[in-house]
Amino acid sequence: MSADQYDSPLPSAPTENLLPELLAPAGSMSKLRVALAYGADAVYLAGPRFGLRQGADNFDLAELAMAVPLAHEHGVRVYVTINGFLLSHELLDLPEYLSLLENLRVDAVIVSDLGVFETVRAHCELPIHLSTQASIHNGEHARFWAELGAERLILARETSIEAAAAIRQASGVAVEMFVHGSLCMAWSGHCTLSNFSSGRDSNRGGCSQSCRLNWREESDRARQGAFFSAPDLCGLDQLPRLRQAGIDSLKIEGRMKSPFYLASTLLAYRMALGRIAGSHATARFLLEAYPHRPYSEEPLLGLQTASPPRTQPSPAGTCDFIGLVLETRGDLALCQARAHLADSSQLLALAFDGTLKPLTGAEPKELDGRTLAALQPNQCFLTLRGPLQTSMVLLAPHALHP
Amino acid sequence: MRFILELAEPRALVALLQAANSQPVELLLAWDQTSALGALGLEELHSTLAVRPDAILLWDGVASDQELDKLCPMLEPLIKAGLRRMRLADLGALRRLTRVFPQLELQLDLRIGNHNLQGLNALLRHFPQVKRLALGAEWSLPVLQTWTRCRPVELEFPGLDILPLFHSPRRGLIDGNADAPARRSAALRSEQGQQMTWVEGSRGTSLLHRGRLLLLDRLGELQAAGVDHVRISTFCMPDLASLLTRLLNGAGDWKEFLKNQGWSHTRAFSRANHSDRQFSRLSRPRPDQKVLADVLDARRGRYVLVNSRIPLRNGQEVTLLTPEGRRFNLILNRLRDVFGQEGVELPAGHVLLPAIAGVSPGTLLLQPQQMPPRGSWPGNNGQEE
Repeated sequence: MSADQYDSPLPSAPTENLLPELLAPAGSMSKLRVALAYGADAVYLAGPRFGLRQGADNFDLAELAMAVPLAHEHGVRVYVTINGFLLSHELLDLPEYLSLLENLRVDAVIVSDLGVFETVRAHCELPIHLSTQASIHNGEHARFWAELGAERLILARETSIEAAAAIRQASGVAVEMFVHGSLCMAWSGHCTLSNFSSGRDSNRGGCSQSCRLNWREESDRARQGAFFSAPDLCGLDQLPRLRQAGIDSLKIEGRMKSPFYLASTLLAYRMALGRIAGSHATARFLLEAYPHRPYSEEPLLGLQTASPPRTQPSPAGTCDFIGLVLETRGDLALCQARAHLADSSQLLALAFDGTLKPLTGAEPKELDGRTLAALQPNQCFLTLRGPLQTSMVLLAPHALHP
Repeated sequence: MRFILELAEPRALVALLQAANSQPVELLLAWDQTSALGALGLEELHSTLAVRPDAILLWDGVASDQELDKLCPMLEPLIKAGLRRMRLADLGALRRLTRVFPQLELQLDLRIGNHNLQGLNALLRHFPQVKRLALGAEWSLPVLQTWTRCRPVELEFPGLDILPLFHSPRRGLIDGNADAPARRSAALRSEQGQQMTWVEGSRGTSLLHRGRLLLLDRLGELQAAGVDHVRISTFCMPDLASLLTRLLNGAGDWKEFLKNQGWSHTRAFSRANHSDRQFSRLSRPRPDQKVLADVLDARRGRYVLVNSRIPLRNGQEVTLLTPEGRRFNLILNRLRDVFGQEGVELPAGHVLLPAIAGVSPGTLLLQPQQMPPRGSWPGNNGQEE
């Protein structure tokens, strides 16, 4: 299907009468396919330049040209990030890129900088979403961008649901909030720790996550820890309040995280929003299946200044990400391993409805027919199709492999 | 070029004020209600404004709606006391103040998030009260020079300043005590050996570079780059304050001061960032040629699995680019799909090729380009194994 077939725009983002949009990260083409398969309403991704996750695979121009029609074919909106703080001379290259994005019919661009905003407005008709890096914390700030024509505000991660509702009302513009994933301990867009510790500019795509390091106090060497490593955000229990507040889009962080994280998180939030069958306990189980930092919902409740973050150890999850189904045909499935697995009889598939399907009797074989003793990272293999479908995530329970 | 002296603490305030009053020095006042690291109280603000109504009040934090509602009435007595100039870091605060106090002259702190002339010009169209942009240490001089050729406002650059790296609204990050009444600070060292100063105050936690940015011996360069004002901060260093007092009173020598200073400083910081190389260094290699396929799996002496973006055909010439950066040309043959189907041409998707020496996952198949003859590449002759 070509981009020309998408002359009519997709429906705009949901209003408060509908369920909020579930917005997923797509750090690469294969993660985009996972996001589509596991039910994202929209995805955000970066092209080859101007984004904030330069360590992610991202999309080259040809991949973007494939990704946008593919997402639209699934009824999924595509937002492209241009949210680095760009210098004057870098803006000169932007119009050509914008023209390409407009021709591809991306659904919006995400920007954080007024110069970028002005350049987008001057050169194309693409809707503009204000990035969390713009550090919007109050209604006055929101009204400024609303008056300039922003169509959506992605609020700073420190913003509470209550404040977000007030900002939405004050500005009359749709708001998007992070509901799940890594948090910054610092004010959004105000950290240059990475610049100092690794010479990489955190606000221009190079964040090296120096805040996750262990630090010790020099005058009291017993006092040490990852003092500045924020817990992970988990808004699962706050979905009723988020809906009540009229939040238009619920954003999952993590363009650099694994397909397992992406699939599980999407399923959990879809369950909690009532879009697929499953209890709250099952949704919670899915969020505990992968390794993560201790979860916190404090920012959504406006409590981040009231107490230091919790410091429990990071849960290791209950399953390991073993691989991904690349393609299925007839009775066979082509898969790619992403981790070592000695006993392939323990493989499980995370189905698109959130259930775990065992792959009993599916003896993996190499592509020239040799039987595989153990799976190794990056190894592609064929197996009986059984319940497998393209882009399905393969897992193994923790205790069953080294 | 003029100096601007940042006053953030009551300590040494009187001495610095006396020094500043005897010299053409501007003052920047860091109030504990509006500044992340400021510790001046209302009384100190009033006493300073009484003698220096041209002083600039710093509001360098982000603000919630509640803070905006609370702080604007608190500014009224200061404006009545003569306050004429403020420096802001939050667009919401900027918008509110231009409406509530249209008589104020406003300045932008770097943290307002503007990094290019286009954005600055747009801000000035919306807020004509803005007269100055205060830049931070992460600006390199070459970038600064590109601005000053066509700058629409006065520019300020740090000459001697702390380097705040991180501000968090949270308190008690180190010891869990979020209710400690006074400002606290400590020296920290990371597992990788970096050193920082941790400061906690009523407005949250800040991390500072252990060294101060010192460019006072580069004033000529700054001036040549078009800087109008050079900022000097004495934060947390009362000794520095007394030294500066002497210098500002003409009782000392800047060169001697710089030679004998005993505190840690850095100069390279401002030149270490904002490099275009950061984009290229972190991104995977972006070849100039069109990518036709990428290698997903390669089994030595047996096969290579590629994911192709376009149909591939026997006899087609491609250029291979390995993750290590080696390139060589190859003519495709004996193509088959992973499910056993052979064909002269196979549709886009997963395609098996015969083994190719030196190829590993991540290798790209590119539209061919003119290459040196086969056999000239060390360790690989471009032929099938």
